Amino acid sequence: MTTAMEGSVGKNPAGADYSSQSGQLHFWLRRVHSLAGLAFGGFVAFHLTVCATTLSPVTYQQEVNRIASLGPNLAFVEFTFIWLPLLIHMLYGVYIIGRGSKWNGVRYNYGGNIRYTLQRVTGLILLVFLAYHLATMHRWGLALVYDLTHWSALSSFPWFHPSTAYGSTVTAIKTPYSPNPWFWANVISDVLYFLGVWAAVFHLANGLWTAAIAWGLTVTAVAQRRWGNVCLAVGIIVGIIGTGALLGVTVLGKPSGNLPETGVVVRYMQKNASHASARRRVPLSTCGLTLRPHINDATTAAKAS
Amino acid sequence: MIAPAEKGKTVKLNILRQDSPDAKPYWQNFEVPCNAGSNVTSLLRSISESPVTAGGAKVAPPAYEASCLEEVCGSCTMVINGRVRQACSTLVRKIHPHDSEEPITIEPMTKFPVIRDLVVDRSRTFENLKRIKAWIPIDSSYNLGPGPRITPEEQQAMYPLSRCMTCGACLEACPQFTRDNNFVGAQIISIARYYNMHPNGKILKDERMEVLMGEGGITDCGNAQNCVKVCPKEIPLTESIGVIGRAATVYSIKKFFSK
Repeated sequence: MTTAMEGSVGKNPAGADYSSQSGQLHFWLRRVHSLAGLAFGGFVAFHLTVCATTLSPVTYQQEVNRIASLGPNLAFVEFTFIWLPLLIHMLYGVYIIGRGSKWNGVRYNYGGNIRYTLQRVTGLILLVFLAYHLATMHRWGLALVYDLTHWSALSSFPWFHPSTAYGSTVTAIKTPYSPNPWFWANVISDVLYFLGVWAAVFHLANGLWTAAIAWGLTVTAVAQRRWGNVCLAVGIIVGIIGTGALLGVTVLGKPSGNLPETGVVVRYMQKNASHASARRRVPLSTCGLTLRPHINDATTAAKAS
Repeated sequence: MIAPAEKGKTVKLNILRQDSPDAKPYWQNFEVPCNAGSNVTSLLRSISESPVTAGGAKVAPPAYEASCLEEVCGSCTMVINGRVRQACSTLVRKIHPHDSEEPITIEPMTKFPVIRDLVVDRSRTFENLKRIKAWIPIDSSYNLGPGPRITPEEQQAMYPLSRCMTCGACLEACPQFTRDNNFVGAQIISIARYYNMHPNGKILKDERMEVLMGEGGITDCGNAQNCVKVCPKEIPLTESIGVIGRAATVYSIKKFFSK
């Protein structure tokens, strides 16, 4: 017994120096992580709102045009408000989960503890979802891999293109294996989108709630409950908007629905066209942001070739 | 009033035992007399009086701690029926339906090293109390006279915080407090708030904030808020975490611009 006492008395399990500078770095990085989450959460709310306009394809195209009209500044805005916060929040979030914790949501099944566990679970779901979302949607995803390698397996993967916003979004959400919305792979993709959006909504609303405690905005239990109701309302509103976006791009989306005035590129049309000309419409040099909203697809293709 | 023992009434116990700090834990069943007023400590004492398992084997009595028997010392804190609580204030009839054949499970706390059976080593909490300077600096070579007045309002706010008995329940239930990390847990954060509120204790406030912003400090709180749910003394632990979070925000800005 004596040896056991000697072995543990006066020693911290990890033997850490509590007032060390590296410990304080953790404090600062954790606060930056919190701010980054707020910035990225703001983007997510904006992004879902824009995507909800897919319920009206013409409005969606107009919104996309408005964003694309930022031109070269868009890359700066994207970096500052999307990529940087996302990277910081994601990497440090993984570090926080990896630091080790004893999840006990079954034994102590209080609401707060379940939300604590879900915050971490949704974070991990989002990690997977965002990887899939960016790979299949973004010009820096599989599209970039194809442009660099010309690997034929990726040739039929479509991605979002601002000049044909609606058609390319709806097409890219489906897998390239079948246009049938009830094809199993497409159903899995839809389910992944549903999970991803709702995980993001929960993670955002609950993150707003915990951030207020971490920064010391809400102190008393009453204030925390009051702010919790605000966060719940934010979650419900963003959730409804997000569900609108989900419906607009999945079950209500028409991959072959042409928008004559914008010239929709549909993957199954693309297959017939030569790949070279189809790809060249999205030159990497301009980050794929050359925007010709009112030019017919055929004209664009002809000009490019 | 002590309820009279019901004749022949017994309750089954399933105790997680461990012979030494490095030994492998094992479960052992007992069946002990129980009356309407029995608490878990009284059941453990019954076993000590005649340490015979349900199977009839004579064994060494399970080691356990108990001191005040009125939920003010915290020494008998253990995991009973899967939930951390004090054995002395856990009445059998409150956690165990009458005539139930199910055994009551009793385990040592999982977040501290086991010394033997239900006895754990909580010296980590003492080290953390020293680390945040959980005292009021009054030592001097001459009489400093009476201390500053504390208003009744301040006393009312401070009294609930002073009830902490370092039982470790908040730490046991906390998903962020583990055997192999440095997190100080809700107890220490709340005690730091308590000493920061005291007019003399305030003198060490910055030093406490330095520690709480360091490794294993306030940063590691994940806001699961189990602490406040399991605290037997109903200390507003999550409020203390909010207060220290706010103090850390203010102190970090102050430090960034003026230190």
